[in-house]
Amino acid sequence: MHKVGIKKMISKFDIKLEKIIFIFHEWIQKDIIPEHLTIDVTDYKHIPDGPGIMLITHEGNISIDFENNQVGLLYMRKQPLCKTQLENIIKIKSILNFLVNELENHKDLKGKLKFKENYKIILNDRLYFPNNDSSKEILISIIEKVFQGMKLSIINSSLNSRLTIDIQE
Amino acid sequence: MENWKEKLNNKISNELKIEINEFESQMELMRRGKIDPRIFAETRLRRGVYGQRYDNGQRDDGRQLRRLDYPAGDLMKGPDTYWDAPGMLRIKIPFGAVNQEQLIMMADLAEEYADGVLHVTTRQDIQYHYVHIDDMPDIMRRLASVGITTKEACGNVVRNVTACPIAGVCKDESFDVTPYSSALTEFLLGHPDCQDFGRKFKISFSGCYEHACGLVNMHDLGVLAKIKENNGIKKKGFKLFVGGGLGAVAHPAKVFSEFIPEEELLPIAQAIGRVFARLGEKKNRAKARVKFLVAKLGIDEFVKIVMKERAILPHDIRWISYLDKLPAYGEIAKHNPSDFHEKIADPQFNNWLSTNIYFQSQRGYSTITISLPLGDLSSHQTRKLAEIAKEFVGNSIRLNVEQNIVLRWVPNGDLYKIYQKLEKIGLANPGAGTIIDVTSCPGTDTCKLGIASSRGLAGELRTQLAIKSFEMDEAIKGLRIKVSGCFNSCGQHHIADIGFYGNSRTKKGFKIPHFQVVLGGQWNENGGSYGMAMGAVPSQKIPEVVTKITETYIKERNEVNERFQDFIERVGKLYIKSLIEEFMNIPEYEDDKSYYSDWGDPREFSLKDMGIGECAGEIVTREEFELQTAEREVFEAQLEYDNKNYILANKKSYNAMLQAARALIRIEFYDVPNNPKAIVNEFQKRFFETKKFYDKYAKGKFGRYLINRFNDKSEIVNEDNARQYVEESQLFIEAAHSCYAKITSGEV
Ligand code: SF4
Repeated sequence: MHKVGIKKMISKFDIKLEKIIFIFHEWIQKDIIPEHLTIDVTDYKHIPDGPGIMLITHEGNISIDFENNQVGLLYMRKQPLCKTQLENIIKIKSILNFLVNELENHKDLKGKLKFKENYKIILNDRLYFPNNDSSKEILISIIEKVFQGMKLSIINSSLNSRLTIDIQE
Repeated sequence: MENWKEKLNNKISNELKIEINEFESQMELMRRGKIDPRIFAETRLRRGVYGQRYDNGQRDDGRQLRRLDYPAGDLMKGPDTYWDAPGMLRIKIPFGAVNQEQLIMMADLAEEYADGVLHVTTRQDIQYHYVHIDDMPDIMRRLASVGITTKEACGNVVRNVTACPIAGVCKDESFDVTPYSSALTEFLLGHPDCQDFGRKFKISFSGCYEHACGLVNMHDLGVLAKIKENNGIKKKGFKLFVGGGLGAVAHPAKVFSEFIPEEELLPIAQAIGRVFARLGEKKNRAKARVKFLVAKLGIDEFVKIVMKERAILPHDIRWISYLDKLPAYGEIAKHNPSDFHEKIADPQFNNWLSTNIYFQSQRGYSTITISLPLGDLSSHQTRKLAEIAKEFVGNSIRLNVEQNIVLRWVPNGDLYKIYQKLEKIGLANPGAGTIIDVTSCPGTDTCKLGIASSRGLAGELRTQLAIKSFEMDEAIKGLRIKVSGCFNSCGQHHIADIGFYGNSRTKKGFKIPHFQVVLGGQWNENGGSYGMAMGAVPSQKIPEVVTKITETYIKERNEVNERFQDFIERVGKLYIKSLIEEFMNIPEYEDDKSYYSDWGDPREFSLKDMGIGECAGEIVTREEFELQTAEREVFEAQLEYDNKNYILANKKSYNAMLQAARALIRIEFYDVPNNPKAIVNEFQKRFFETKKFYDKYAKGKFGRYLINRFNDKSEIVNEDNARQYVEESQLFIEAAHSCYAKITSGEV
């Protein structure tokens, strides 16, 4: 149930991706993410449709993600978090926004990196949330509560891809 | 709610189901502290579950050495390896052949359990990184549901059997080695004669000698297709090589036999396994590969011993049963052949066409190489690639030893269409098999033994060389670069034209990442000869070294077609050293800090993150292994008893005793038949009557548990006697452990 990822889209990205490697290492040194055991930084910038730069923590993976050429900050939860899916998604969103804030306000990125209020929610568990109508129904009812007033659309997908919902202002 | 075990119950073969359930039990025993971490480490390695950097609970963050306090506390999954630390899973892909369904499954698993990336290795495996051990059984089940096993992907066993990725479509092969590599894979997987090696054992097949695809010259067992003609009759068979290997000390293989007929392949491989298990080094892992045994005995003596062993092997029907199916073997093209006529005015496409296409021996078809930077592709790319494969080639997909993917049986008329589709997903990189297509081991990114960042360097070289590739001389373009993060040479630097392996130097107390420059190795002729070390250069200067050496080669070669290897040999080590010396100077730390950190890693360079490698596996004796298996069985018996399955509890506890007794008997009588009567008779004769199995106080009591159980023919099993059986079995196994300890200490 806990395996949920939320990606917040980036609207302005005027930096070299290498800069993020520095910043993620800095986050490890300063231990800035509460309740997370930060482990390492991986560099996947050579994969065009991939996770870019990733900060590995025990609890979740954090990456500047480039899936479908859409750049955003993705937080993918790996360890159990809350009792209900609603609480989970609220909590994951708040972790993500904490990270977004850290990036936007980083002294080297100010004005060069901006996020927009567009999200993608990925249910990363094909057992408990297969990509089918009943999972969609459950997920949409939860997301409507967390992202009130925003436009939701299911991302049509093929070949067993995960249930993913696009959320726009 | 249903779990993967229940959900996939009907989709997994019984054999794999048992395997995975057993591994799960072993994990549970480890959690309860009931297995020696050494034995558990080797157990998980034999399931492909590998350690990763930082699993020893510490990491240098560039300022200080930090403790990584994993939530599971002191629970370990091997010596000095924390349970909760992310690890690697290696998935065996025999001869690199995968189908669409498997690709999709591997993409799913990369997303759900790893970091969303599939990594293709230099031995045609796939690896996931940053996986939690608790997820391994589910991953294994899901892989098993599409016919993939991780069994024996690591550890001191027969590793993935590799083969030419163009076998069956190659213009130069003697014949298609695919069905033979498949038969040998199946035959040796879990084979009892291959469970007691001191180190890993790697096998490779090639269809011809001239090209490099299979690299038979650098394997423990290299199998080269050969046809012998006798009185006008053609006979298929193989030239066999043994004792090749890279590692810190590279050994070219020795010829075991110029020709063995096809029906002798499996039995001779089995005999080699038995000889290696019996005579190979077990204590000193640095000397335990088969190459050292061959060197110690001499090739003639080694062959003699193996052939003697071959002569006494009990016949096994599997040796030849697969041969009957060979005539029917063959890949079926998804589409009809077609010709490639049009001139397409797309320079990118034409560039790709010049390096990534192999026109097959079957007219009208091509094989495409998808060049993967650093062997990586994302789950999204993988899924889209499966779609492309579905449309154009069906299941004709293979991985190659240069960390790329190969699509076979593409109709030539579809080449531009498929290129455009690959281009859209970032998989139409040109330069496959050229200087741009740099191969690298994981190095300091994830490997515990890594000294320098091989992936960082390989990525940088790829980027810089790709920019220059348009104006590059063809002779430079055709060179190969391979990088290893340390001397262990997983990146195969010995057989590259230009190879590098990581090391370090110190200046005024600061460490500086370096790479040793190794030149003149030969990729052709199956990794025909190894390169020479020329000197260590700071990591930051390696791209300049590449430019200097390649430019000098073009300027100073004797004639236009002097090969790079010949050039290096002619000009000699001293001259090359003089060329690269200028790059060896290191500025003071205060003057230029860039030298003091590695590619793609801004931390100040240090060696503090290095750990104890698992490449060599743990040296665990066969007896320890078998006793541990007995231990697991009695644990499972206990669980069955708790679930009120008394009949199963009885059966498992009895099997556990038999297993433990057999482990002891095999010290003296290796081929003891695996049936209760033979085991109990031998146990009685060798251990009970000789009092070797006696306990100081209980005397023969524990041994009698087995003998009595064997003689007890009553079929009634109830709660009371089931509990008694389980308890007796537990005591018997304890006694077997102490008997084994007495034997190894020389007490009995
Ligand atoms: S060569 Fe060294 S660094 Fe590279 S994977 Fe092998 S042991 Fe690790």
